[in-house]
Amino acid sequence: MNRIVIYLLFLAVAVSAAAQVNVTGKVIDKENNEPLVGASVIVKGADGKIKKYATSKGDGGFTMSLPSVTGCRLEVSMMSFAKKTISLDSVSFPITVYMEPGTTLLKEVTIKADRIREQGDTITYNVGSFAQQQDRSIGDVLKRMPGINVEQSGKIQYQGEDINKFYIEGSDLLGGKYGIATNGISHEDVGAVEVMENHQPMQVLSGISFSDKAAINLKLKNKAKATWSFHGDAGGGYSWQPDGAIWDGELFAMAVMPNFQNITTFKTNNIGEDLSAQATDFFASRRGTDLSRYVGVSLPGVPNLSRKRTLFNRSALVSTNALWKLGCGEFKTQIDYSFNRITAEAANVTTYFLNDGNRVVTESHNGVDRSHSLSGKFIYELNQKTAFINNTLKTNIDWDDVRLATTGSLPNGQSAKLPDYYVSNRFKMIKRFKGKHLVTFQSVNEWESLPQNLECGMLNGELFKQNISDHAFFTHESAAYAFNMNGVTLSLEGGIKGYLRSMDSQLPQLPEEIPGLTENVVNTNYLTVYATPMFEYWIRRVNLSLNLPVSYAHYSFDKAIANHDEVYFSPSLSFNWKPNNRFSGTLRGGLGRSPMNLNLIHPGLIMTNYRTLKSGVDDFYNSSSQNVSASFSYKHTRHGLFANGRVMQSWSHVPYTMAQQLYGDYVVYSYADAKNDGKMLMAMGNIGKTLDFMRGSCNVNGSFSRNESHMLSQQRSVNSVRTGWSVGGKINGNPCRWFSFDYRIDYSDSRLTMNGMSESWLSTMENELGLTFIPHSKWQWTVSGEHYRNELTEHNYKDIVMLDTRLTYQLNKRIEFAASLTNILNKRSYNYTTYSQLSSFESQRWLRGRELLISISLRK
Amino acid sequence: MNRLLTSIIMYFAVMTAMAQTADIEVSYRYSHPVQTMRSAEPDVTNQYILLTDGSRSKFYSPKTEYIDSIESTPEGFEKFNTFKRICYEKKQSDQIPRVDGSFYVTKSKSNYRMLTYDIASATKFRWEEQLPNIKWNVTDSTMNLLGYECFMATADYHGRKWTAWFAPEIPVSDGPWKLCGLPGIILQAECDGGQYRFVADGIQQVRNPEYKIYGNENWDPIKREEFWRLRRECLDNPSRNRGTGGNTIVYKGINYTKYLPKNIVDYIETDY
Repeated sequence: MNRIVIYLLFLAVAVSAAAQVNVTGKVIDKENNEPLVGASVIVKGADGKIKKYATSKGDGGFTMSLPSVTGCRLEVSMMSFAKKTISLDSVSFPITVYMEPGTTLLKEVTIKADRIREQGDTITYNVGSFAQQQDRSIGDVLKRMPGINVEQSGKIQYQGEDINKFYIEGSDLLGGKYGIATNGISHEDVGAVEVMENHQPMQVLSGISFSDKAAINLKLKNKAKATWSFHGDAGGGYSWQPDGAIWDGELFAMAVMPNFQNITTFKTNNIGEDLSAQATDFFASRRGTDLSRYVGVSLPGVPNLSRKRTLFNRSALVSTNALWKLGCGEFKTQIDYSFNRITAEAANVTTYFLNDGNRVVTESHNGVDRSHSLSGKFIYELNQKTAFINNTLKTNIDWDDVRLATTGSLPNGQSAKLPDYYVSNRFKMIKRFKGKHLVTFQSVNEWESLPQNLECGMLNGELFKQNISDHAFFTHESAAYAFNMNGVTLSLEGGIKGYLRSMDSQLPQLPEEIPGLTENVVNTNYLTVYATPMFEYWIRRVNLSLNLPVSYAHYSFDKAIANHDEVYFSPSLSFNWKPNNRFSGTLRGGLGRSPMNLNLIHPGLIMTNYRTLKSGVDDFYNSSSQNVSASFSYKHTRHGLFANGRVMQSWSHVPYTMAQQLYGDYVVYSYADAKNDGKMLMAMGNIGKTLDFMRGSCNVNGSFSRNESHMLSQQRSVNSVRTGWSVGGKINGNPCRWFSFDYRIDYSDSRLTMNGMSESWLSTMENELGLTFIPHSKWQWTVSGEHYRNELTEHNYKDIVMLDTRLTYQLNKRIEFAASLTNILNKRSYNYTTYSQLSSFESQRWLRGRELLISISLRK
Repeated sequence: MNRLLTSIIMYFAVMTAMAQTADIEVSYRYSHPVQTMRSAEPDVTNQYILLTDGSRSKFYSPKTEYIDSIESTPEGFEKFNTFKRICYEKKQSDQIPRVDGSFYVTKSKSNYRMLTYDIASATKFRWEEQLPNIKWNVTDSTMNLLGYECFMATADYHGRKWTAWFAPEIPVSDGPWKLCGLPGIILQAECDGGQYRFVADGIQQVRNPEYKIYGNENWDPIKREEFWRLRRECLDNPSRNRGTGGNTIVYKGINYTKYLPKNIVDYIETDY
């Protein structure tokens, strides 16, 4: 028995002894035979995993015990010595490891800037970390930055709100025409995009008046500063539809110096890019002259399809913008000229939904629109902490000539000449005294003339000629005083507004079917005296502002209708809460009464186009409205997360309603006394996030809207509700050096309900995918495409796929060659159906066919 | 002549050998809750740098060191004060350089000493500890950080459980803050719950390393436990809470006054 126990004990000891290997040894410097302290000694298994580790002690010794060392290797390393690897399969311990000098090569990673940084109210996006190989302008990169949204028009929003300033190196060179910069400046010249939240552009108001808008500032790289930089593109090629030559060219020059800035650009193309949009002033306030065109002969547009696919154009744009710093102030000039010639063809079927059955009108259009626009702006501005002075002189001359030939139930040719002449001067001065008192003077004077000439030649030889002359002068003089104490600002603004307008129209002949007068001589003048007390509370994280504008107005209409005296009061309240840097919430509400659009006052008929006439109101009306809205924004810059959402509800009460009456093939719109109530609900949300693991970002958005209105058609009341919702998402990334992608999807659904009868939901879906491959640093190949899926009638879908490709070869940093093939599948036509309030509209449109463009780009 | 030539060659050989000393710098982003213990989230991020040659190291915040170096001489202190005053008067206080992280840790393998420098109750303190012998448990998990294959290891240290990722390719047994003792440099470390986290975002060789702590004599000696207790006591001192907007903090639906309790958020060391 004892023997067995001893035997078993022996066995156990032997097994455990066999199971443990003592790995011991010494690390010695081979050069001088001295022991090395602090060397790292690792036993790695056959799979490369770390089994055990130790550090050499004062005598260079190390000791570890492992169950087994079969297949293992010993790795000894130390800074300034070459790594030593020894297989442990056939060594006996203790072992001596001799280390030889060597360098431990570091894969150096320079401390890189974050993609998004936040300091106070400024958020800085690192442009290089969002740009992709195929991007050209800074606008292409802005689209990828979460929190920033670039609309189709080029307008920039930050967290759902339009920006209020666009700076280049802190200077406001372009004002609202920042599209020139976003489309022109190369992203390689921009180091960072800064977003300044709650930006108050007037320094004199800083700390006194709250702003919930953000501004964008482009921080240029040093190489683009204090010098002129140029780049240019020239391309030519062939198009299958319209059959012929195509071109695309651009010259861009920019100087950003401490006391002088200039951006000058020239662009021209006929490949479907409307350049006049690039010179749009996104900050332009509504003109005080408030004229609008009666004549509306426009070429039909295409919803749900990228404009580049459908626009048959010849466009040119010249823009030169300069800024000089003079002492404390600055002087700016902005001069633009654009030309746009657009041709369009369309076949349409319009169905009017009437209670006694539907009426169908078939037509085909073929038209040309030539427009020229010349504008000049001259600004002097002094923007200091105690004083603000701005004088802006602006002129705008537009010519718009449209010719449109129509066949169908009313064959005819229309020709409209629609020039517009506008001059304005705005002067504003604010002075701050003793830090607390603000005095403001403002003077605005505007003049505008909007003559309209329409000729309609019918197939039966009838010719309708309509001439309208419409001009207005507007003046607005005001003074304000504000007092700030401990975060509370009280202010009172008072002023007068004067308005003189005269319009006359003549249409000597009228289609026989239509009854009524066709001559108008109208003067719509007013004089308003107003006072606006304002209260603003702004302490720490809360801002509350209350506006109580009250005005008295005298309207005189020179016998067209009776003169009126009116009092208006439109209070509004807004509340903003920003508990921390991440969250901001705003509540707004307002109500009030406002006068009608004075353009509607004309006793006689005015022809809008060959088929539509409008008659004005015969009384003066006021409308009233109420609105409430709530919005929030949230950001977490370290996680690259941006979110915002808003809900709006508004009610409007208009004492008149628009009615349409059909006389044969003609439509006559008129206004009638009615209680017309509208109700609108809108909700939208947006979430953006950086995807750092692939240098990308993504965005999800959604919206819902519901519009309810009540109107009169053929003496019967119609209640119509339009409901719509949409969701969209986009994602882009650069997962590896040779590949990047962009994907976007948008889906929307809408429905019209009339008097409780619902039509079906009609959806549109759009997918867009772009893949870029960079097989070699000099070569780049992009394949992209769009898929549109439109529901024409219920469950009846129209799909269309467009494919493009582009190959780029970069000869060196200055010269690049590219070849692009657009609409590879050569899709030539596109059909769609849309619904307006009382009608449906089916259309066939033509697309730009396959196009081959070869281009060269040069840059300095 | 030959002798001169030999000595010149020797000189250059020595110089190049000196230039090859392997001093490296690793930059970390250190995320942690605000010191006033009013938040349990790692809302604050500082940049720290670990400067090491394998046998000694300094873990410091470069912005703070910049100011400490200016203020380490009486003239510098005076000049910096004047500069600050002018900036305030001109209302350009955003021009004044500001401190970032508050502490320094230096480690020395030759004498197994570790020194910590930190601020409590607006006073600079320093204390000494033995170089820790952290019992790391190396696992099989790997992750790529800054291009290096890193292994995961876990250990308990000063009251918290730490998860570290180290790169055996860089044979420096060091890491951010007081963490060390792995066969490779620690490029990322996070405590359980994620309230304290170090993530390396850059690594490079250095030419002119400076291991000294500026104004060493300005730091008063203290015992480690006393330091953390003092910091805790300061939370009750109302002057610390001035201007932080309200005295109530809501955390998971429960109201707390002044600061969150120890079981929700505590300092990086909890054993005091």
